[in-house]
Parts: sequence; structure tokens; C-alpha cells
Amino acid sequence: MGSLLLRMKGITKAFPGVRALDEVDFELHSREVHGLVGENGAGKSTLIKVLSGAYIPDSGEIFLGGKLVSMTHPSQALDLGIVPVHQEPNLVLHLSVAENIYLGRQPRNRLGLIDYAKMNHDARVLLDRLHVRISPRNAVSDLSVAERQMVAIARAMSVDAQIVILDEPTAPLTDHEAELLFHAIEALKSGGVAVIYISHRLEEVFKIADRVTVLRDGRLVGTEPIDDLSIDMAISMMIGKAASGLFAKRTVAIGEPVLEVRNLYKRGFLEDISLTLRRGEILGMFGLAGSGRSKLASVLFGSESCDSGEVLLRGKRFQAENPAQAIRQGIGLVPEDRRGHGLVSGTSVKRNISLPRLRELSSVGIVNERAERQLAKKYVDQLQVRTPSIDQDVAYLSGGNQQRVVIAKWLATNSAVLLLDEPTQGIDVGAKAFIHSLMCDLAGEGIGILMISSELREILRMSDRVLVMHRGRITGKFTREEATEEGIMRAATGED
Amino acid sequence: MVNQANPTVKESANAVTGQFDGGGVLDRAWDWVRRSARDQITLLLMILLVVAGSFLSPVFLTPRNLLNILWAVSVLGIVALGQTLLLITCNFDMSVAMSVPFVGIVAIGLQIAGFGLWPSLIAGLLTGTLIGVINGLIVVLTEANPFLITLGTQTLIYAVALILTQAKTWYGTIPAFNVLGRGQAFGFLHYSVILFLVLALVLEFVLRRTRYGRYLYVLGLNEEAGRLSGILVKPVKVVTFAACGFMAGISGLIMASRLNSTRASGAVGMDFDSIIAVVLGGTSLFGGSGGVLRTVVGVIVLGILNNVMVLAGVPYDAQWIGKGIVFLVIVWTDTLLRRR
Repeated sequence: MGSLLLRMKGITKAFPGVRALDEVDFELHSREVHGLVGENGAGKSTLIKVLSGAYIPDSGEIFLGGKLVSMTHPSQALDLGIVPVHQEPNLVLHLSVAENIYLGRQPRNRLGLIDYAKMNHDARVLLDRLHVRISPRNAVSDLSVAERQMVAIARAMSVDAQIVILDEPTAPLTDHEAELLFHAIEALKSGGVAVIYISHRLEEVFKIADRVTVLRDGRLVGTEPIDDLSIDMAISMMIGKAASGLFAKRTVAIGEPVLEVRNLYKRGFLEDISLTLRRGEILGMFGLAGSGRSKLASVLFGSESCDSGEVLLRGKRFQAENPAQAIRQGIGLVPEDRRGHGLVSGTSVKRNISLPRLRELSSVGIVNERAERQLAKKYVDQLQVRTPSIDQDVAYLSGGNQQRVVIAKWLATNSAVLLLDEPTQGIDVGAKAFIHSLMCDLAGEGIGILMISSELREILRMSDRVLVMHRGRITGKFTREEATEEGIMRAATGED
Repeated sequence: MVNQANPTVKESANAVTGQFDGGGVLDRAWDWVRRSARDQITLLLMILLVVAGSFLSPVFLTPRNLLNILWAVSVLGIVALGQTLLLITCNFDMSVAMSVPFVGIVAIGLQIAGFGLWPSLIAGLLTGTLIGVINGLIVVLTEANPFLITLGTQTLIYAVALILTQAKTWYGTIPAFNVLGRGQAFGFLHYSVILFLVLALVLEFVLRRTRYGRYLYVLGLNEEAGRLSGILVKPVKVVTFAACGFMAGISGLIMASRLNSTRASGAVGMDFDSIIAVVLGGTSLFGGSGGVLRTVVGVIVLGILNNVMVLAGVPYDAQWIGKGIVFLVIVWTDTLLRRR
């Protein structure tokens, strides 16, 4: 670990309804790998966005190499050598590895043309330093996600980055690819670069980090050398002793099966999926990205087709050919991509809530607007959606309130089965507790809920039973009592 | 310089709307400015044209001239009403430039072949609708760009029309056919103008109050969210193309009736003209907003533009310059102000 490189002091950043960062201090040394951990909504991403110039803090100062800097645009952070590497880097797919590394800065020969020999040679040197075996001449489109990350890291090295920020880099990687990434991080470090490493996977953080900073609810909990910490200590720092904002699950009576899936296949995505969801049950579905969990929801909702298999709804064979049919049969989907798939931005809260139910709300094709208003009002009140009026454009609501609107759509259609895909992703702690509480209420009314989540503690806290998917298969089944973080993770990584 | 570390477009968008989304007052104020600025450009153009027109000629502001303008634009106007429905869903029908005269060819052709007035009219309407259905089916089945698809069908229709007519002008044989295009109620109001305005009112009601109308806006704003909320996207699109084709059918009959003749190239330019009219009225090129009453305004402004150019003695061929400039300016401002 080298000298003090970066000092962020008293960083505060508020958004309407949430204080994302509250007087956070953060220090980074050169030649250091610094783990940044915390729950969703703890403020990690906001801190990183402030550091990389994407957000301007409300107050606080940033010192780089002892000098006060102020950044109002990501390009300024880049000029200072602060380089974020995204989980899935945005590279130009049809250009070569070397061209991507030197994009916009290609070496020229005397004629002003691109000096390919020099560019490929320089790229080779960089890739060798990262211990990566890919040719600089390869097209990026032929590379795996892991290799693309390496290209992005090589690019960071080529611009003489002082600070490289890696945000959840291993999420889309296999274990072996993650190992290669760790080697590359070591190479960066020995080259004098400071690395900020954000990850939910604490084992990884403990493996490669020199120090760890823990954030919770937008506040700094502490920065500790890795040797002074254990994983358990880090977790308790992340959660907080008081465990405030957490919601305790209410158990409700579980009834007869409402949705049964038997031997569902979808080539390349789902293999032999069978499950049973009962009335009043919250069935947790865990899986890493690409495990097929969202595909399963799409198939059940009729949004995508499957190759074979049987679905029974209330004991009757049912295969939705399109979402309209699924909705009519009482299935609702809260999709993972809230803005892209869940909501129609540019139109009102009222019209979003009534959309799946317009058929019932209209006679001879004409919408009964009074009934529509009543319906929207009812659910806005019931779900405590914070909006100036039901005519407000949903684009202006906060994430938590948007999610309430999406859920309201399906309550308005009297769904019997709710498929919730990452229901609390990216929303603040208070809204999350509310949605968890709501899920219990809905289960209490006899709705069967399939909750897909990549947040282990949400799965453990809310589920009556847990299913785990890995590469399109169900690789783990747990009752609430049996489910442990470790057991679920093992199943999710296919280790069993 | 493009650099790895620049946030992706999506993330930059999040930086604006994402966490800031409660953000309100400024956002909403800017939104209001954008929306109203868009309308004011059309208003400004209209005022300029009216002022110019009244300076150019004392007849410009007479009721007779204004009614003539309405009559002149009603053929284009009816097509533009259909085009509005498509633009709201983020679709286009470029084939109207050839389907409008083709409908006339079918109707007059049947008259020449000895069929009566009503069969020829009904066949014309069916032809227009059928062309719309075919356009819609191709668009939803291929999922290709509707603009290019309908340019393709436009060429096909033109070819068929040329072959059928051997590139000659056909003349109507039934005197009563003329009433549709030239007839007047109360001695001053053309039937085609009445039809245009009534259709506009009906479609405005459909857009504002019916489930189908709601679906059109949702498809323009976020098709996938609409599909996942139970909209049967493909049927809705085909119906909308069919509606646009039906409107082209009405328009084609009026046009043929007005001239009592028809030829394959009788509506060249109506594809772009109808889109200019729609966007001029304030319906966005990017879908999800607008309405047919706005299109009525757009069509009238376009009609005034033509009228003023005629009064100013601009030669026919040069009049295209005026339309071209309006088209470029309106597309540019729409893109500038509306892009989401």
C-alpha cells in the first residue's frame, strides 16, 4: 500500500425522498485494492458516481494527490485518471481488441494513418501485463464478457489510470474467469494503480482487498484493514446491530396448489423445470444472472414460448400464448426492468394502473373514465403511492413509488399468481420494507407469489420455500428452515 | 473522444431521470417549455402565413378563399388523419401516395366495366383497407422498419397501377360520381370538407375515449410494457394500418371524383405531405403523443402555405421548395424538442 492518493471528505448527496450519501469520508491509497461493500441502496453506486463525475455532490470535497478537485462531468474524472470499468463494458463490437484499447487515440505513422503495427504491439504488451491470452487483432464481438472486461481494464491502463473502479465485475463471470480477473487486478496494483472493488460477494472482497469500507443507508460505517475484519463482522457492519428498516415476515396459512409446472423445457434456457406454488405461499427463486430465472417467469407469463412441458393453473392445464391470456387467467408479472417493461413513462399513474384492466373497464370499447379514476385512487391509497395526483406522469415518481404502481396494476386485475422479478431492486430501504410487508398481505389474501431475487437475504427473509436455479435447472430446493446462505450459494454456483 | 469510461447512454439517462426522478419542478417546467414551444412554432408559422397572405392579395382573407383552402386540403387531410393514428404508435404508411390513386383506378375501372356507382365506391374502400391490412401484416410479421416496408409496397402498387392503366388516365363514366368531390351543402360547403371534419371528430373521440385509442398511445410510448400489460400488439397494429388504408380509400374516391379521372401517379408526394401535416399539427415523429384535431390544424397550415405561394405567384414546381423547408424545420424541431 502506497501513499494517500484520494481523499473524499464529507460527501453528501440527496435525491428527493432519500439521502443517498450523508457526510461520507473515503480514503484511497495508491497500490491498494479497496473493497467497497454495503447493501443495495447503501450508497456505493452513488459514491462511485460522485467520484467518477457522473453526480455532483451537494456538499463535500474531493482531494486527489493532495489537490482539491471539482468535477462536473465524467470526462473530467477521466482526465484525472479516474476510470470506471463497467460490468459489461461498452466496447465497439466490430472493432479489434487493439482498436478498442486505443479508440480515439490510435498511434499514427508519418502519413497520418493509423500505425497498426505499433498499436497491436502496444496492446500486446498491455495484455501480457494482465496475463490475458487474447490477440489484439481479435474482434471484440468474438470475446466473452470476461475478456471484454480485460480489454476495458487494458484500456484503463493505456490512459495511465490512477484509480480503476470495478463495480460488481464478477457477477457475469464463471469462477475461472473471476480468477483471471483477480490476476489482472494484482497486475494493476503492482503497476501502481489504486483499485476500488465493489462486490456483494464478500469472499471475493476478502480474497483480494487490502482494506474495506462499509456503507449503510448512505452513511460511512467504517474503513478497516482486511486483516482486522472477518466476513461476519463485515456483514454485521452492513446490516447494523439494530437491524432497522428490516421487515419480519408474517406467516400465513398456505392452501392448495395454484400454479404447477411440470417438466418445462426451453432449449438453451430451461431444462426440466418442475415446481408447485400454493395459495398464500411466497416461493423464493434464487439464481445468478443468466441462470434462467427470468426466462421462467417470461414463459409462465406467456411472453416467451417453451418447447415442452405442462403448466397447471388451479389444477387445469394452461399454456399462455401471450401475456394477454395469462393476465385474463389471473397471472401478473412485475418485471425486472421496471422502466423498460413495467411502466409506460410519459403517461399517468392512473393510466398505468388501469392498463391491464381496460377490457373490464370499458363497454363497447369506450373506457369508463369514472370507474378508472376510482380504481386508480383505490390502489394509490392502498399502496400509499406518493404522487401529487393520479394524473401525474409516472416518470416523475421515485423508484419505490414506481414499483408500487407496477404492483398496483396486478392488484387491480385480481391476480391469483404474482411473478415478482427482483421486486425491490434499486429502491430505498423504507420502500423495500413496505413492499415486503405488502407481499405478506397479498399472500394472506391467498395469492401465490413467485419471488425471483438475486439478493440472498431477501430470499431468506421472505420465502416460505426456496428454489435455486443454475444454468436453466433447478439445483436446490429448501424449506424455510433448511435454507442457509451457504447452501443456496452452493446450489446457485452448481457446486452440488 | 470515445472512451471506455464514459458512462453508457443508458446510464447518462439515468443520471438525468433515474435517481433524480422525484426531481420535479425544473424537469416539469422544462417539459412544459418543450411541449408548448413545439406548438408555438406551428402557431407562429400560421400567423406569418396569414399576414403574408393578406398583404399579397385582398382575396386571401375572404370566406370564399378560406373555404377553398379547406376544400383543397380535404383529400390530403383525410389521409393525414389515418397517418396520425400510425404516427402515434410510431409507425408510418408511405404507400398512401400510390394507394390513393390506385383506389380511384379500381373505382373508375369498375365503372368503365359497367358496374354501378355504389359497387365501385365500396370496391374502392375495400381496396384501400386491404392495402392497409397487407401493409400491417408485413410490418408485424417481418418486424422490419415500417417506413421502408411501406415504401416497398408503394412501389408495388404503382407498378400494378401502371400495368392496369397502361400508364393512361382513366375517366369516370357515371355523372353522379362527381357529387362526392365537387358537391356542396348549402351551396358553399363541400361534402368532402364536411367528411374530413366529421371523420376528424370521430377519430378524436376514438383516440381520447376508447380502449383502442389508449392502446395506440401506449404502443408509441413503450410497446414492450404494453405487451406485458396484455395489449395484443400485432392485431392492434394491423387494425391501425387497415384504418389508415381505409382513410386512403375515402381520400382516393374523393380525389377521383373531384377530377372525374385518375392515373397511377395522381398523388405523388402525398406520403411526405401527410406526415408533414401530422407533425406540423404537433403529433410527435417519435410516437406516443398527439391527436387528429392537431392534424386538422397542421393540414390547414399546409393548405394556407400552398395558397399563399399561389397568391405570391410562385411557380408550381418551385412550391415544393416551400414544403421542403417546412418539412425539414418541423422534423428538426420535433427531434430537438421531443426526443425522449
